[in-house]
Amino acid sequence: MIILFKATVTGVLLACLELRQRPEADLVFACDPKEGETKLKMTYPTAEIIRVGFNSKVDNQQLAKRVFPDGWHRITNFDSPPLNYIELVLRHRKCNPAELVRLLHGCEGEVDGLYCGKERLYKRYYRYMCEVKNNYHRLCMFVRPVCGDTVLYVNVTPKNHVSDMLCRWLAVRNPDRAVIVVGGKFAYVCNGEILKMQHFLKTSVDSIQHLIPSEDSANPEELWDTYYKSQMIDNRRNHSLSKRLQPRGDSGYSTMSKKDRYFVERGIPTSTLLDFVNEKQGGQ
Amino acid sequence: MSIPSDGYHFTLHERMRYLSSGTKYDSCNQSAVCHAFGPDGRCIQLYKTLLTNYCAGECTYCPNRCHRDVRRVSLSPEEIVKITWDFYRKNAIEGLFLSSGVIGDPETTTEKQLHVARLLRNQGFNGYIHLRLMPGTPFHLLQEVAGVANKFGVNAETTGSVNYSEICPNFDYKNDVLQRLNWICKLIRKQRKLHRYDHKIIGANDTQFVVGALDEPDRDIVNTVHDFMEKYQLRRPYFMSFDPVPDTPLENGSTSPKWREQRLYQVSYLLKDYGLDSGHIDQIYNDDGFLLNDDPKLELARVNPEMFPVEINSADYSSLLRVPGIGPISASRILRSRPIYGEDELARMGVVIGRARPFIKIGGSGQTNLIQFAGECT
Repeated sequence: MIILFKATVTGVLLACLELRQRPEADLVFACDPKEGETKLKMTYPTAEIIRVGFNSKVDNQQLAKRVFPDGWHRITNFDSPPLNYIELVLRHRKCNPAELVRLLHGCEGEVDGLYCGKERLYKRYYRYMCEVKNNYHRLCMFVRPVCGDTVLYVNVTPKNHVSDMLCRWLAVRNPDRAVIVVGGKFAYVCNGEILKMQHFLKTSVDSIQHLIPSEDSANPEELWDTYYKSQMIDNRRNHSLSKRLQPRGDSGYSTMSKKDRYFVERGIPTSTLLDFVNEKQGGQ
Repeated sequence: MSIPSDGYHFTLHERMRYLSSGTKYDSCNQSAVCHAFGPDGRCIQLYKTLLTNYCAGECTYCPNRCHRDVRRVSLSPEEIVKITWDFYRKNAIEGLFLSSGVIGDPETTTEKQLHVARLLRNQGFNGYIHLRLMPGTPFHLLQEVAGVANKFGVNAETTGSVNYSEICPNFDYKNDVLQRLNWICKLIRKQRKLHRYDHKIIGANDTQFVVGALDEPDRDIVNTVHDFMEKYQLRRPYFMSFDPVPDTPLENGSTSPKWREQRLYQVSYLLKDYGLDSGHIDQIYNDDGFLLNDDPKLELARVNPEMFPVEINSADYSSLLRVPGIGPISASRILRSRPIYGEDELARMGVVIGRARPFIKIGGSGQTNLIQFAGECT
């Protein structure tokens, strides 16, 4: 018996419910039915198949309550609720959706297993969730989009699949601009109605290439440098703290953040060549 | 009085540099995404600037006091709006913090600040706006500010009328500061009542103290902060360490140690988020009424040894909050996740185990300390 499920939150929850009925079943996941059929043909050509999550329109919240009937009182407002947990984990580059379904199944209906599971697998997936969250948060901090007249554009290569989340986040901040986020092979467009498209769209990069602004309509990088330097208090320099807060790995998302990181590393020079020239002229 | 035009001899970059430097000691932030960190480790989250450093005030600690020989410059409201938009679009900031020197009188100054905020809002800016208003701002302007700013307030600078008249001779503490804080509090309450559910801006009350300009002890500052929180629903106080500025009446004063500012912030969080009052903090001052350079919560735990160790599985919320290493978030998680079986579970909830260990028991067992050990031996 094979459970073929779509690697989405709904698919994972439905597969978990099916696995509860048939614990001996094998799990196969796919992003779309075509991929699923190919996988099945290669590995289980003759097995009995149950397909879940490809055409279902169900309430995920209700599904989550069925998968986890107990332990909701142990989740606080500060934890990611199970649906967010699953969604975030699915975005991790190393996530194996079949493993995730087995993990959910292994919780035996106790929701706090997700957060406080003792076994290595539970800890690993909890760590995945934190890494994705962190990755998204750092992107929100350090990306600097190119600002066209009607479009904000950013090209990112995040470690995990969070480009669409970034796109939505930028769109909420800038409701009067269309936002294009290119992450790898795909481009995400949000506030697409400004460009006479759907509100949110996942498409190929080629199809929206003509919409991408080549340079900033107003380039505030020099102004930002001036501002950034003006905020420095010399006698409070804290090298280790600032390096930790502005990590090198994540500051590479944009040239502006890279430059900020450089100042964190090297400090801000207090005298410039211009000062030197002025001093010389003053001396003469 | 209008902004004198001779300030415009400077380029935009120069003016921006002077005016932003004027706010670099102002701590202000919103609890959202930080976009950059300075080499001093402070988060740069807002575009902080003065509207102008022309000032009619004679505050004795201030580098921009009138008659002091400094470069006087201004930014026009349109320039500030443009810079804010450019930075915001570039995802470099979350919003604007706008303060100013006193342009003639408080009314004119606030009108200018309000003009900037209105321009931004009318252009669809939905970021954060924090206005630092002048003492003596009239009520009708405060009313308008309440509709556009996410946070606004008047600097109290110090703890009482006598001290205030010493450092800010142009204003009256009771009328120009306390009365305004009171009005702001009432306006915010009204806004909250009217717009709680319709996503409109509900402001918050804030103020700032200059720490170390006068000899006032930390006890006075903390008592004042607590008083303001009770009376004026102060959201949070800000503290600015005093640095003597040449060519001012306080130029011979001594620099306030930076840790003092940090400890005061920690105490203000204890008042704001941990349900403590100034009476609790009284236990940890030295004989002169100053805080020690140590974590105030740890100090409090040390002077109240009879309260510890706390049993994680049975203690109430307020007892958990008194444990160093446990904050409001982790205390709430503990309450909802009982029974707790081990330290790793606590660590996952955000408890700093290294700090908390001497002060907690889990299921009856905890770390033995030297005093207990000695007691058992005898």
